[in-house]
Amino acid sequence: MAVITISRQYGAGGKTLGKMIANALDYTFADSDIIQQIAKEANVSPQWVESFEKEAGTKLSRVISSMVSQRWVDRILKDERGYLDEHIYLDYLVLIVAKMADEGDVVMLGRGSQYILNDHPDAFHVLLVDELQHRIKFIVDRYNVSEKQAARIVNSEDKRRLSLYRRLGKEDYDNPGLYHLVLNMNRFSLEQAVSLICNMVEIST
Amino acid sequence: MSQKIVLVVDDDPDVRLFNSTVVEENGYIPIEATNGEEGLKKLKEEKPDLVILDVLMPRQSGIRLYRELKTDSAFKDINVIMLSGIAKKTFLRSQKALTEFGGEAVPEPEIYLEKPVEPEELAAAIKKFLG
Repeated sequence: MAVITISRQYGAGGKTLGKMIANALDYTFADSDIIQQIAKEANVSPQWVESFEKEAGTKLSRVISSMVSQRWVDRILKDERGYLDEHIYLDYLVLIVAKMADEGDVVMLGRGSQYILNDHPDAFHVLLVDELQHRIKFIVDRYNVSEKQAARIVNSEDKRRLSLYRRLGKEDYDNPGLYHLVLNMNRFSLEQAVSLICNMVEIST
Repeated sequence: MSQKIVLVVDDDPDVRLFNSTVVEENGYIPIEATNGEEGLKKLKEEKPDLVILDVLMPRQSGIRLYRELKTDSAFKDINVIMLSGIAKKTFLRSQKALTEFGGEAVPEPEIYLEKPVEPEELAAAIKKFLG
């Protein structure tokens, strides 16, 4: 009944590794599931939640927040019966993450789950780090983009992550003390990382 | 003495009907809201003596309404019965996380009931506060 949270520097292989761990342990990999559930509860489209997450923490989202009343009206007129703002998103996010964790056998990626579940008795928190060049190469290899594009994506995601956590009042997300295990993905293959994490869960449960 | 007012906030019409019926049968006046946003409006307008609040609702959840209620000096003394399909421990963990993410600390709900609830159980909880 364990829950594994994976926090990561962008390009360190978090999503790929999360899916591999879920497959190995026969757990649910909760990534799009979280989006779907927030959308369901807030009564908005999953696309809205997805774009909200992409904008979260950026300067653009702050501009949007100041215009949000009009956006709500626009959305409602376009068949969205609910709406989403930072408060509503966060309320549903923490509740859904807590609910999935209580149901157990789940791997979660990011979204502050290491904080939400910091004292959950069945949770294992993992942080993936890697050198910048290796993360850029990972994105080039996985997503078939140029090195220049990959570097831009990684830089932008690093800034977004910093900004998002700052807005939540959290800047210690790379502090090893928050995690059961910190893996330098420059030193391990994905397969080795899966074995390490699965062994950790096995010997601890 | 005027009859006491109970605000019932739930997006499910069947649950609202059930809760309101229990409230009414025990001699109190129910007023209803379908989500947290509407609940907050009615809270300000009607100043109820007790709130029966669901957790998961669209257009502002019960989580947000509960936090607003318990951090507003005008409302924080109003008793709340949380009535939800969400387990109490899950609700409490989510509240703790919201506080950790910069929100104001709020006390635990006075009573937390998990759905489905029997009419007698709800009536007893209401009477605990309203006599």
